[in-house]
This record gives sequence, structure tokens and C-alpha cells, in this order.
Amino acid sequence: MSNAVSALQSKVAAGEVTVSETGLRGMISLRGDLSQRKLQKVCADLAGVKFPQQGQALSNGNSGLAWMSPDEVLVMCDYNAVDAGLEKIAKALKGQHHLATNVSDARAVLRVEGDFAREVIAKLAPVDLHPDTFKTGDFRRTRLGQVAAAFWMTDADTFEVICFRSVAQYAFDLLAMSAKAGRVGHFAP
Amino acid sequence: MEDWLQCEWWDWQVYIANVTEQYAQVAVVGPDARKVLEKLGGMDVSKDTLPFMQWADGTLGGFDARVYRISFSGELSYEIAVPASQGRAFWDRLLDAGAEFNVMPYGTEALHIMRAEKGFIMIGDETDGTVIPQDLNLQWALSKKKDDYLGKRAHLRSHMASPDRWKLVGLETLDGSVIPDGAYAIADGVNANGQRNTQGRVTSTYYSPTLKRGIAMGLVHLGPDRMGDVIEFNKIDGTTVAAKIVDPVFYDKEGVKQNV
Repeated sequence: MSNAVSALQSKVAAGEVTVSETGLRGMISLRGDLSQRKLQKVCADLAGVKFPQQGQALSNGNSGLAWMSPDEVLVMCDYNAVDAGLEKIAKALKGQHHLATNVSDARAVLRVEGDFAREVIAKLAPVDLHPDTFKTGDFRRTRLGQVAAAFWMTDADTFEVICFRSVAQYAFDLLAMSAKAGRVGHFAP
Repeated sequence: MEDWLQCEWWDWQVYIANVTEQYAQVAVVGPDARKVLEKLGGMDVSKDTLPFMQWADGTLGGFDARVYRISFSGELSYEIAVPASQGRAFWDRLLDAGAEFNVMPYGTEALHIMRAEKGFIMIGDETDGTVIPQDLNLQWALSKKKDDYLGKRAHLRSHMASPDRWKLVGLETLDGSVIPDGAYAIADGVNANGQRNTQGRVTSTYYSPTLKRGIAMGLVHLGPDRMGDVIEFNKIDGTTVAAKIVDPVFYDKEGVKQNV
């Protein structure tokens, strides 16, 4: 896999709020009955985090789980761990109706980090990002400017954003521009 | 499809996933295409194992690959999908392996001309929202046996079922010139608005460097029944150009070049 490169090859736009591409991340799109214990368990085992509630994402480094829809969860792991993950899912859900497929190369992951990261995102997405409404662990599939994207907060100053690989440069530039434009102060205490 | 699954057939046990972006796909095209892939090695891409219109999973030069033996150029051609993260590396490897065969990137204009020489339709050129398969002489692809399929009811409507339609043909100007893009084939008389009546329109028109003349495809009233007829297409300067109605396949009608 030495040939594999991420869309933006870990590009960074440093500033008060820093935008960076995280590099390759393993992602498995899993569709099935999310209420099923076997499904929840294999996901939690693979990602090392709790199975998320509706509208939530939990992550730790490259590993994590994101609730995508009532019948879809995104399993995140190391890029090279996807094949093993798919095998574990197939084994755990054998005989049950589900779909699991590798989408690692279809996506880019961006990180937005800094004390007004919340505003950098709020300027671009039609989402209520008030600190009382959108908190660490909350997850939204929405838009950033002109493209589909999803994001969640890993801590009070950090967002992780996923988008399609082919629009990674656009999403990065958009976030970097929003960061450079600076603080709005709308969410200031 | 997701809409149909959720709203029409919600009781089906079917999941789909959009994996378009998971892959980078490269077309390797030309008489030496197979030699380049064989140089990379890893899977059998011979005529017998991977014949025209088949596909196979395997590896090429160490890359996980899905190889489709399809051709939009009319030449021996493979389209190869690899994980998007390795798309650039695979492309570079192909250019490297192909160097001894004078490999080069070719753009969409070249592709468009080559497909037009072969009479291959382009969605959005030969078709728009009003064009149905029958207009493109594809009635063979519509099942007469199935009780139902998506769109069947539409095909039964009187205007759709009528043979009295503009249909796909090839067009060859008598003077070898290129018919202007968007030209209409004029007919006798005028309509209720005083505009010249029409009997067809050009859908693709190019200079063919292979045939050294203008070639075109168009939709012409009852076109396939009028092979050899000469009709006039309007030009911007107010004059017209005469074109003969011909088969839309201008080059390699037997498909010999892609079937090697």
C-alpha cells in the first residue's frame, strides 16, 4: 500500500484556527439493523468506542463510529485495518441482511482546530452550532458551501470533517478561508 | 435507487452504497493496450480469458484492479478501476510501462471524434429528455416479455409507440464539409408561426481525421427508412449544406479493431 496517498497529502493551513488534512483513514460503510446487539458489538470492538446514539459520532484518533442514518453507521479505523475489519463484520453478521464496504478511498478527512473552530464551521454550514445545541460527540451530515460534508466535534475546539475525495481541495480551501477571515464573535460568552 | 428502495419497495431486503469516489478509473486504449497491461502483469487479459464486454477482478503491477474490457473509442480498450488513493501511482506506472509504445494521454475531444466515427451515442448529445430508446434504434433492448419494468407505461403512450418519429442516422455532407453544430434539417413550407418547417437535427458533428471529411449523427424524421436520401441542413450564413442519410457507423462497421 506504499502507493496510496490521501487527496491532499496532509496539507496544513496554520493560523489561529488551523485546518489540516489528516491523511488516509480507514472507513467502512455499514448498513443493517442498528438496534441489533451483534452489530453494535462488532462496531464497538473495531473502533474502540461506544456505539453512537442517533446524530452522534465518537472517535479517538483514526478510530471511531458515526451514526449516518437509521440504517447506516460509518466505522473508522486505520487505513490498513479495513480488510480485517470487513472480515470481522462479515463473520459477526453472517446470515443477516447487511452491507459492509470499503469507502476509505472515497473520502477525505479534515481537522479544524482552534478556539473559534465552531465559527469557522458555522459560517459555512446550515447547522445550528450554538454551544448549547452542538456539543462534543454531535454529528451532522450536511453541506459546507457547495458540497456535501459531515462533521463532529472531538473536543470543545476541534472539529473533524469528512467529504468526498474529489472535493477535498474545495472543502479545505473553504475552511482555510473561513479561518483566515477570523472570528465573528457570535458565540462569544 | 435509494429513493425507490425507501419509498416504493421499502419491504425489499436490499442495501446499496455509492462507491463512485472509491475508485480511479483509467482507460488504456489502442492496438498495444494489451501489451502494456501484460508488461505490468498479475492477471490474464488475453482475448480468450477477458473477451470484449467482460470484466474481471485481479491485480495489475501489484495494484488491486477491476478490469473492464469495454471500448468507447472503437479500439482495443480496457478501463481499469483502482482504489482512488492509488490512482496517481497507477497512472504513472502506465505512462512508464507504455513509454516504449509511445503512450500518451488523450482528451475528450479525441474520444468524442473516435466514438462518433463508430456511431456510439453520447448521452446528452444524441439524447435529451425527449429522446427514447426507439429513436436511437434500440427497440431491441426493450423487453416485450416482461409484465412490467420502470418506464414501461410511458412506452405504451401513443406518441412514444408511434413509428412516426425523428430517429438516429449518420449524415455525410456531399461536399465533405462539417455540418454546423446544432443545425436543423429543413423541410418544405412554414409552420403556424411563419418559421421554416424542420425534419431533423444534427446531434454530433465533427471533422474526422481518419476519414478526412465531415461526419455527423442526427435525428431525422423516419431516418432509418430513408437511407441514401439527401436533405439540407441550415447554416448561420442563411445558406444550406446537403447531406446524405447513411448508417451512423462510419468506421470499422464489423468491430474488428476492438475485438482482437
